[in-house]
Amino acid sequence: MKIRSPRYNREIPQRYRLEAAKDVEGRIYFPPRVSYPGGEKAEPIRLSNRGKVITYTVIHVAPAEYSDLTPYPVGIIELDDGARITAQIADVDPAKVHIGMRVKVEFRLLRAEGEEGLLCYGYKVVPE
Amino acid sequence: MREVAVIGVGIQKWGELWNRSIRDLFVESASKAMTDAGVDHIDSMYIGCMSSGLFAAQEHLASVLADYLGVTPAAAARVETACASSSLAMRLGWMEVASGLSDIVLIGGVEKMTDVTGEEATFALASAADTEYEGYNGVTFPGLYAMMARAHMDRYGTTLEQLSQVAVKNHANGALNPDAQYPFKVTLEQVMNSTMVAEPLRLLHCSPITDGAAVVILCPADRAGEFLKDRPRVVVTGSGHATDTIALHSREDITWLKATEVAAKRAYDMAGVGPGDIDFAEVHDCFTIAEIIVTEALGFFERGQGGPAAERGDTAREGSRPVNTSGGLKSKGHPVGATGAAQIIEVTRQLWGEAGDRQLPNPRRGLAQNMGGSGGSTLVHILERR
Repeated sequence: MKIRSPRYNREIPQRYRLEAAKDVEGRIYFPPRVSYPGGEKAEPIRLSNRGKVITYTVIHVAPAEYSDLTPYPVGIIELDDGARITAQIADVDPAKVHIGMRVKVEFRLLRAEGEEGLLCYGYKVVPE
Repeated sequence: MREVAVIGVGIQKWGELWNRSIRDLFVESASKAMTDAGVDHIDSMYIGCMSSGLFAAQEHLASVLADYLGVTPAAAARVETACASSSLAMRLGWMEVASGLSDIVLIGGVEKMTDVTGEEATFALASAADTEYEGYNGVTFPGLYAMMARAHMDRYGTTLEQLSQVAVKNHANGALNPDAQYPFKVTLEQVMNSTMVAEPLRLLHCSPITDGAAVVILCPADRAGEFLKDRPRVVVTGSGHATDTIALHSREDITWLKATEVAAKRAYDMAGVGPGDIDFAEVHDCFTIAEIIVTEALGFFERGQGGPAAERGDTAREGSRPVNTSGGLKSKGHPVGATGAAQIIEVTRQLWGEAGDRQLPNPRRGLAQNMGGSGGSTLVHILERR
């Protein structure tokens, strides 16, 4: 097991478990923040793992770490609790992706990072 | 506050300028601007540059550029708001002259983008969005605008032809601009059949990777006569700056550019004018969908009507509201940190009557809108001929 960078490590709660925060006025923040405009405190929550695609694209020209994957769909997903995330849409023919499509969030391998090729995980969505 | 005038401009023909470094690019445009203004010194300078670190492995850029321009010990600062960096330089230079702190201030921008590979450039540009929650998940910069385009098409019925018409129009203008990177016309068919980048956006819906610099000299309006000779006086009457969330997914409305709406309102209010009073504009067409949404957010057209307006030719040179007479980022090129200053140059040249074959008939008031990232920051300036 390789040692992960602190930068990767500190994002694990959000990326692996969808940890977020809800402020006193009910607004959801993902990832959680240091302070909130709505009040001093915000309650820790976990985001819903189901939602729908509100817009999307299919990436044909990608940065190096994703170039083996092209063409791959990416979308903005509105989860059932109202929070929004940007995620790859996996296990689907890119031509079948559409606005309004129901999806669920899954824990997936995303990419290999740096010269040592450290494996980086996070979320993708797949058709519900 | 004092009124501020533009007294000199400098730019080179933009492109893939393999033989010139970031220093060379800046010094070339800055020397031209100082010669154009007829100034032999500057009090200070503000330089916009998005990422001399990632693109050229050089930070502390202000000192590098002041040194190579030969103006040390003048005060110099490099400022950054991604692709809007040199409009921020413009705003800070304007503030410094308006406040009375300095008289002769150089503002400009530079980006050297072709010393890195295409993949490295894609990575550097993506850092203008949310690195941890957008870039990490594989969305590219064109991908963000593609998602805005898809949502705009879904909500308002904006068509691919309308998105493509913006590129056709801007290339037609750029064909008349000797400084443009790609000074040639393109057809609707060429745009719609170009290489796919991020669906539905194709290569000819996207601005290019460019090396270039653009520089403007500012001074108090009441001293402008010393430098302008026969040129009309062009003054800054409005400046607006606003921010929005860094991640596109955090915005209430993905088809809108709130920071542009707010920055424009601030500039309009300062100038005491409204969108109907603007004769022409340079706007941030990093992708053609951006020009469509920006023309709506500036109040030129109703929400959702930017596409039909482009298709009707309203934004063409001979239309009711010419947009991007320079060719825009699309044809003129987009050395990200230099783009805002180049917009100020085009607006100034149009108001001076020095825009050559693309000159508009007697314009009085022009606007420049420049944004960073997917709209996370925007600056708007209004310039008027006196």
